[in-house]
Amino acid sequence: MTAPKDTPTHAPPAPSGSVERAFGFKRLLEATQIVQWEADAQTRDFTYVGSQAERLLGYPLARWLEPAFWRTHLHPDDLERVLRFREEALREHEAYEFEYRMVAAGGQSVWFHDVVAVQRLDGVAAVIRGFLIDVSKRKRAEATARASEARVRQLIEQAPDAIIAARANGQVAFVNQQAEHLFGYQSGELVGGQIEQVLPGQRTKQSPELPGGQSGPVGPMTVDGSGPATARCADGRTFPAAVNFGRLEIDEGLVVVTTVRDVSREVEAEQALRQSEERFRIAATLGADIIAEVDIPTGGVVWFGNVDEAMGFERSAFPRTMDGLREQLHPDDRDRVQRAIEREVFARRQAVSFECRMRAKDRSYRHWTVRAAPRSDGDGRPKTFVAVCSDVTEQIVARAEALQHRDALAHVARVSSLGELTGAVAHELNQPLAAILSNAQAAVRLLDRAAPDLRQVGEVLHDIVADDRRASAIIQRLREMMRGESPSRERIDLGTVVREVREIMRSGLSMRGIAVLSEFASDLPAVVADRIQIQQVVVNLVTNAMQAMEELSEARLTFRVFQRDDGWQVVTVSDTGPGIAPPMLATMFDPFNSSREGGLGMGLSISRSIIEAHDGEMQVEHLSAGGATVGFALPPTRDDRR
Amino acid sequence: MMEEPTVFVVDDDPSVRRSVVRLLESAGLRVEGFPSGEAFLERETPRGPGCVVLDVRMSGMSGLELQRRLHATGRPMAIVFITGHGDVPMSVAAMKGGAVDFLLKPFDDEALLAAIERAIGRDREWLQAQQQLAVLRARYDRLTPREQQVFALVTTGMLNKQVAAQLGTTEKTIKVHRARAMAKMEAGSVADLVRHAERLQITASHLD
Repeated sequence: MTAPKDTPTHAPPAPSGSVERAFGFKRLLEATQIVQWEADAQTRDFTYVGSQAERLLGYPLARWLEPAFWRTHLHPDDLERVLRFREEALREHEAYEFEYRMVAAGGQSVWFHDVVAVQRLDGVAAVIRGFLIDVSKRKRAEATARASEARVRQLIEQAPDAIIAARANGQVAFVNQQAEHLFGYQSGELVGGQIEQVLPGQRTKQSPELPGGQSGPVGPMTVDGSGPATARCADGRTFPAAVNFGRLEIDEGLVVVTTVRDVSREVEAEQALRQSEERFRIAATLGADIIAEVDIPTGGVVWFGNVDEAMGFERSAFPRTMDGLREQLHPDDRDRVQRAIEREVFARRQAVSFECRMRAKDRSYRHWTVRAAPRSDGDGRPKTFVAVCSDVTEQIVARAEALQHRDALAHVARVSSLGELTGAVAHELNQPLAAILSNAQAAVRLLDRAAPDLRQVGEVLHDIVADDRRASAIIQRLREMMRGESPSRERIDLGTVVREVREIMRSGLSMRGIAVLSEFASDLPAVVADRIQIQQVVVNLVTNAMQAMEELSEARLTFRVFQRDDGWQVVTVSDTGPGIAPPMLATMFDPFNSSREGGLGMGLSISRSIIEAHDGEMQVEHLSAGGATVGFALPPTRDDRR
Repeated sequence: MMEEPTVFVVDDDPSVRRSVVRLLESAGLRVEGFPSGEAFLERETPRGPGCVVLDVRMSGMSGLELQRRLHATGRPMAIVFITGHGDVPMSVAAMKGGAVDFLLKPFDDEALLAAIERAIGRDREWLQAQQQLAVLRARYDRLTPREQQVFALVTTGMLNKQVAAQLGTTEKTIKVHRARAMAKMEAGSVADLVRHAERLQITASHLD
């Protein structure tokens, strides 16, 4: 709220000269709600009062001009303060303004804002002039704003976020339970302390003197767009926090209401993502090319660019012959590279691009992309060719990491919403489960009686069925939530979809030393399905298979795509892991059922939801030779069924 | 010796409430069900022994709030909490508030019945103690002001002579007062008298 402005101003606001002379001005003032007045500075009695004064207090003008009218009609609560202030102001200032209440003829109080100018003769105050402005409405509005404090406090207590209200000097006026919990304080410990204690450096940012006006009950003032603030807990631990401010007027003055949310997980995931993307970008721009010129008849190689240093060799120690280079190639790449060069460059005399792995001095492999082209010097077989080689190892590693961090970010988001879900779902689900159990046990007791009341047992069974339906409805709702938006349908080739997933997952598989085999039937008709969702299912299958083969020396993953005799198309993923224990077979598709520690157990459940939405079916085989085969089958599209 | 106990089931979920009431009835207990804490508080205060089977999370008054309100009424009934999704701080608060047990839904009938048995036992003890206290208080009210003074001073361990000096009278008079006080309080010995004083929370400072 605004305190009465007992503040001297510098310029006299009253017009110079006597009021009687400024006749036109007087008429103007009398037409407004502002009352002009003039008084003897010695007796302090009014010598002139604008005619609207009658309306404001309900006294005839003549009463205003009676001796001591002003003093005797001041509100008793304001009397002492106002008189003291005026006497001091008269001595020391040329102009001043203040606010006070006067008592009207009807007994009610009226708030005035009074602006006064002092005219002196030989240094002694002779005449004072001023304006009286009725500010009762504003005062009432301020009172109303204060009255809502109790309600606001209650709202703050019930808010889901942590909220701290602090006074202008940074002292904590009140906090809600969520804030005490977030910062690790006992109930009541924070109140009276400084907000700096939990939000260092925030006091200056949220000073109530910042722009935004003097009044108005609640409203956001600033949303800090400069990134998260640092918050400090009772035990000294800090965390990044999203902070919002609002201003609020309460009985004891202006307070700043601060909402605080812990954003550490978001910040961590974002930082990791940004770092790996940055590395990826640098690698892409700095990946200097090295050029080789090859003399085909002799197989001699001339290098432009420092290939030796790039591969960690002594000066001129990296091979200078085609045969030497072949030795440096990864054994799996040798034949492929040789065939590509012979066929395209030598025979067809055209450029060719390929990737290969080249062994460095420390025996690690660098990923190269190579673009080779014959030098055209007339007809006939080319005599030389040029190869531009780029080391893309950093890019590949960085890209893999970036992908992983993207996954991590998505995972954090999913797990946090799941965490909230599980609490609610557990509560929801435990209600019907409790009712079912109690009812069933009551039924057992009823039947144990000498003469069981079968009608009553029937009622119990009826209730059990109803609660069972209620439980499955809850699960159905959850599953729909997991499934998200309605799927799109397009004609897709399952072989292509599975190949795409294989490419996405290739680096993850090879990093774990898992060999990949593929058996794709050719010329399969298209199926109608949601490409993204089917990919998600295959990714889930591969992820499970990878996890089943962790730390296995003989790890092998096999993709199969084929058509059953009934026309259904089948995709399976087989692993060489420990297989699936028979008790797990029955429940492995249920949500929250995970054989892994810390696993959410949602992967297969979501997969099944997706496949069932496609009218398909999940299938699982326990291989006698060890390992498991998990997959799904989709029905043929209508026009293929005949 | 006392009347038959009653179990009050307070749960806002109608099917859970119905099933628990049914289960307890099938076990031969007298049961009353209430859809909310407010509804239970509207019922007249139970005079006989009993306990409350109380859901923690309810729309309207929470179970923990009802626990606090019952304490404030001066008839703090023994409570067995049941909850669909319990967490540690909630159960700590409930146990601190004097709950007999905290069962997670779904719960086994044996576990619930055992907890109820303990709760009713605890409630019987409380009622008995209240009754004994009422008897003692009635006896104490029959003492004359002088006998009450002597009672208070004697039970602080003062000798008759010291009591006489403090009250400005003779030892012989004190002996008479003491004998009458013991007879009215139905105390066989000074030790009995001291025990009664403790139960009634009477100390010498109660006088003046």
